Amino acid sequence: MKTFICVVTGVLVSATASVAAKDTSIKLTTAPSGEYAVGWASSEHVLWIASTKDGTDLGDIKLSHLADMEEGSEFIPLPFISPDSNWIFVPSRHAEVDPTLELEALLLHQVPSKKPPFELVLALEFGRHAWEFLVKELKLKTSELGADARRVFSVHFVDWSEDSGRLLISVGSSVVSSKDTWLEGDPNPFYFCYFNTHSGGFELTERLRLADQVPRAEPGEAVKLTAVVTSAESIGKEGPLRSPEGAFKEADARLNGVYNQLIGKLGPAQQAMLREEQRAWIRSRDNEATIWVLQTWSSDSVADARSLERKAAYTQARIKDLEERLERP
Amino acid sequence: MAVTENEGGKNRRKWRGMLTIYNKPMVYACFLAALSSPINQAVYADEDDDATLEFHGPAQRPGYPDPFSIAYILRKNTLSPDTRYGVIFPKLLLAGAGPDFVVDRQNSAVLGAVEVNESTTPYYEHQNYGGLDVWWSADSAAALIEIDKKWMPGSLVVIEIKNGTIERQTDLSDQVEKLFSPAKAKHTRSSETEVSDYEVSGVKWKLTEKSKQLQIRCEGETNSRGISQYTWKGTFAAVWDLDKRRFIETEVTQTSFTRDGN
Repeated sequence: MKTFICVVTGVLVSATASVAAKDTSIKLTTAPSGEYAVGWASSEHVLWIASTKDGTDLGDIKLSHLADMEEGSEFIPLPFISPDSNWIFVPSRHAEVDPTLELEALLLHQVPSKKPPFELVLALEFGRHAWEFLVKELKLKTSELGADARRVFSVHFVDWSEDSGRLLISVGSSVVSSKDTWLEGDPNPFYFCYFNTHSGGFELTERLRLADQVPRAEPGEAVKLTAVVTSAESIGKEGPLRSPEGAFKEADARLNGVYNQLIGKLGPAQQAMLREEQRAWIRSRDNEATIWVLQTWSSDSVADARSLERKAAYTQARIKDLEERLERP
Repeated sequence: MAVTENEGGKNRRKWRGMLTIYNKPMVYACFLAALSSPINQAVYADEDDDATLEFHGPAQRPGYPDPFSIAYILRKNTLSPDTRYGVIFPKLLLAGAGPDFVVDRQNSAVLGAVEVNESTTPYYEHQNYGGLDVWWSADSAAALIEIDKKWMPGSLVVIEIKNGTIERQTDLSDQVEKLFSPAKAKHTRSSETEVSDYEVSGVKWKLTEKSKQLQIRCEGETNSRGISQYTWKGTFAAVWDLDKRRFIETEVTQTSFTRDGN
């Protein structure tokens, strides 16, 4: 195994990033407020934040250790900005060509009175703090680290709550030796927790606690979707965990009922048309779900759960449509 | 049956082979070239067939990166004749995690994933032994999409578009393999006499008022790995009728049969 580099040497620097860096960069996203954009200057390994009004630098994060990555790889940090535009979360990532090269998770907070206005939260230790919180809260058993071993963390983005009060993440950890031999398997299983932007700490609500306590899947076994959370609860609007499988099955059964009622009312030619229309609708539903999974950058069990949720929502709209047609004389 | 060979398809094949072997530096150079261009520029490279075009997906959630813009590639040589439609494939960022899609550039719409068979991985950037070729009909209403795996096409998907949506997808690869395999019955009983390696060498669309047909020609051989002492080489030519949804003509022709490389 190649040398595993997990120490991010990036620092938040002021508006001094080279113009050259910006010339070889791509814009990754724009804040919901429209005030600033976040981009990646690959040749300089700089994640930049710039005003959309006049291009003023609002802060750059130089990820200099990524300079070691193999030429030709395409490592792009992905920023997810909170609805109020005051927080930017960049999940941890492995480089595609060299999976031993890792970017630690970063959380940035906008403090308008400061220059530059964005500051790192929990420095470069976000993943470690999240994991230690989960170990304590969920009483997770972890192995003792040997003299030459160290713990690495994977933090995935799941969702921002509508009020920007909570960042939902899934966190995993594994142990590697100084020779970069994996000692404690893959960074699985993952556990869900929030970072509360009001309190500045990690937390679990009842929904997350329930999901985290579902027995973890054995290696090679599919993750139970009852252990998957896809949406963050706004503060004061906490609610129960709902199974995406259950929601989809329920909607699908209802749709079948309405569809069969409708087809029973139609003549042969209209029945054929409706069957063709339904086949097209199923393709469209599946396509919508695939697009949604990509747009939310979901993977693994979160992707499966989100796909079912999207299909359930799409099915509800179809039920309404068919019911209206059923009521027509 | 005569099938006119599409030289464009043949040339693409050669280029793809080169991309497979030398892909990293070349594609990296293209990537850097793309990055160094202004974001609003429509075409990043020159008039090269492999030039990449911008494509933005459907409206994205505010504050989230657009995967179709930053993690997918739209190559100019996948565009339909009217330039409205194209086929996008994932960059390394989403390798193995996202399918290939048929997209509508005019409306920033993702029409649907290319439905490959179970044994085929959707094409992605830098994929070993992978390749993506698209042959559109002149009316931009149908296309043959070839997604390669090692030794042969993994999927040969006919896409039919109607009213701006995908009406039907049909994967011809299983049928082509079955029809191309009589070679194995003609010679020794070794499994090595199956057509184990073939490529699409020509594609032509024939459109009339009454029908829409796809003429396809493949070249293959039985012993590409050199294990058997016998080598059969031949061609497969066929016509797929889109309305009838079946091959209406097929022909397998032996071009050579040799022993021990003679």
